Amino acid sequence: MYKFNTIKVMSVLLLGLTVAACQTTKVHKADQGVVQLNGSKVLVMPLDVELYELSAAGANEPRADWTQQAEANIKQILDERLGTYSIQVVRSEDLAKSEELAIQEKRVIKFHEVVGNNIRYHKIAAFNNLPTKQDKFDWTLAEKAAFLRDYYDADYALFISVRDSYSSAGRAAIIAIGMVLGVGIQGGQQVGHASLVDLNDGDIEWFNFLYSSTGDLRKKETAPRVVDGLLADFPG
Amino acid sequence: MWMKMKRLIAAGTALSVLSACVASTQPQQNALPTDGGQVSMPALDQLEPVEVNSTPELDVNYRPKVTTDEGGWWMKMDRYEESLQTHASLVRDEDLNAYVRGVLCRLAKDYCKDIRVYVVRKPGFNASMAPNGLMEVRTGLLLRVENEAQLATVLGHELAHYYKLHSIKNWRTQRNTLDAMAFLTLGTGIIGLGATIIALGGLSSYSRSNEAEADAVGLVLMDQAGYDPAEAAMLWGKVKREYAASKDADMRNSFFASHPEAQQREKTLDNHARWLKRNGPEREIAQAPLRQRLAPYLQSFLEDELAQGDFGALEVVLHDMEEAGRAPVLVAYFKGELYRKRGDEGDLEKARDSYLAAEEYAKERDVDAPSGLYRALGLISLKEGEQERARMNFEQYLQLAPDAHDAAFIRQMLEQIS
Repeated sequence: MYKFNTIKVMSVLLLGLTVAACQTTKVHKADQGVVQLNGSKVLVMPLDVELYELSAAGANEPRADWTQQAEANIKQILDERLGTYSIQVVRSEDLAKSEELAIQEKRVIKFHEVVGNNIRYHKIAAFNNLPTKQDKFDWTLAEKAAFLRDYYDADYALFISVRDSYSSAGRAAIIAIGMVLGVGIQGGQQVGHASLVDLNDGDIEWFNFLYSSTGDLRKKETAPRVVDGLLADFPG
Repeated sequence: MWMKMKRLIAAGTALSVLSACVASTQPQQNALPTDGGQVSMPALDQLEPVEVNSTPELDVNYRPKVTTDEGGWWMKMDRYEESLQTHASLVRDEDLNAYVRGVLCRLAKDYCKDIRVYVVRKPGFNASMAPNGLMEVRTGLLLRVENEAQLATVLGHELAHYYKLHSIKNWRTQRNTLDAMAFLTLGTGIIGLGATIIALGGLSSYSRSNEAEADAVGLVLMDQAGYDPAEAAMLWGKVKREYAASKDADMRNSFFASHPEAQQREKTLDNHARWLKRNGPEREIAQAPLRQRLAPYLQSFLEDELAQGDFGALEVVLHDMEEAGRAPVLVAYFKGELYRKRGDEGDLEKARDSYLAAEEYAKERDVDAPSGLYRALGLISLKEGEQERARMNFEQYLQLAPDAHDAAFIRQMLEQIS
């Protein structure tokens, strides 16, 4: 399985030539109009967060310590922010569950990841729009999420996913040399989404995509900005 | 686009850290012998002495610090493992898992509790080892091993990757080489590209040396556990023949091949095994227990292989099973399926003969043949204008598999016959 192919290596090198904008969020809402969360019970799914260190060549090395810091920060700020809405918040991680339910939950998280990635590739990335979904936003988990409503008696589920990378010393050097040569080279970046699923019909009611090349989730001072970005226009 | 690229890279790196498997990179086709893979054996006094340091480079209960690159990959692979645990292709059968685990523990001893083996329902000869102790074994591999010693060959090889920290060493080499290339590319433009290609060759050879080390350490582990290390070369010879017959045979690139050259590997394994056995007691092959424990699963394993459509490779697998006298009814049936699906000149006749043989073996042994046999015989009889025989076979099929997905279709055919 340890295969080294030229395409992979070239993509790593090519990635170094891409330069992206500073910070953007993009919200999509379901076609039926704005949801009203007033008094609803919102189930917060386990966070899906991974932080990486960018090597000089642009390869992502997972960092367990940074990931732990970021998870703790996001969790704390998310609790604070959600507390300001008139909703009842429950966290899946705090609730006792059978092994079977735990498996089912992991599967629905994976399923949402697939749907969420498709939204990112085919809706957020405008050039990649699917012809059948040009002017609508009707993505759904359908009946796959209904068990969450039945088991937790919740109305909505909130999924949050973040991938975040930071330049290593080597990457910083490459970026500096690039600047001298007039070549823009990509540093670390944050990509994530927050997604609110109506557990009655599985529809994704609100989907917010975040992209940023600044902001540090590892630090208590800077993490709130990222979480606020993720919750931009949250229909609370 | 960058998102896709990032995903590609993430996927690529995650895969490469799932360390080196037994034989995912195949040998070059034209390096293969034409005599069925026999290697000439040196006399005992011509054996090259082998020195292997099989001591694990990590302790029992090892866990890296979270602040290290190793800790990062453990986290990543722990998450992958969690995801694997809910995966539909995971084989949860307790008996099969207990058997594979038993063989592993015989090799790993105190380290056994640090390794989790997952049997994954997937065709093809492969297994892999992640740095955190996650071992994946494909059902296609279980189909191909002929005895417990051959299974131990693969498990020992994977265990050696774990003992010798190959995943993280591979990652570091890969990362550092790429980093050096990035500076070169930036600094020297096109000259950097040449350096890139040379560096890639270097990475392959580094990986090859890890594979060779895993082979050698694996053999020692087998030997210490009382398994006959000579089975390693036997297994590799088998796999080599299969690759030569595979439809993917010409997709290989020897320059980037991470596994030791086919011929060399077999010779090295053989020499090493003979060295280990030079004055020791007899070792065990343990053919009967493996056959007995795997027998209930062979049909589903073979169905998965058939669905791959790699007829050349499957033909070798079935041939070997036939030679070894394993599951004659199934082997004959799947030969029939292979020829029927392949549909080359003369394959229809071959298919019919194989199906008839399967039917006969089943009668002789008084066992049930796979229900699909009667459907296939029915279809062939129909093609040959033997309506009555077709009817009998279809009826037999429906009796054995009344709820088959094509039962309605077969019933309709029966109506048309009568």
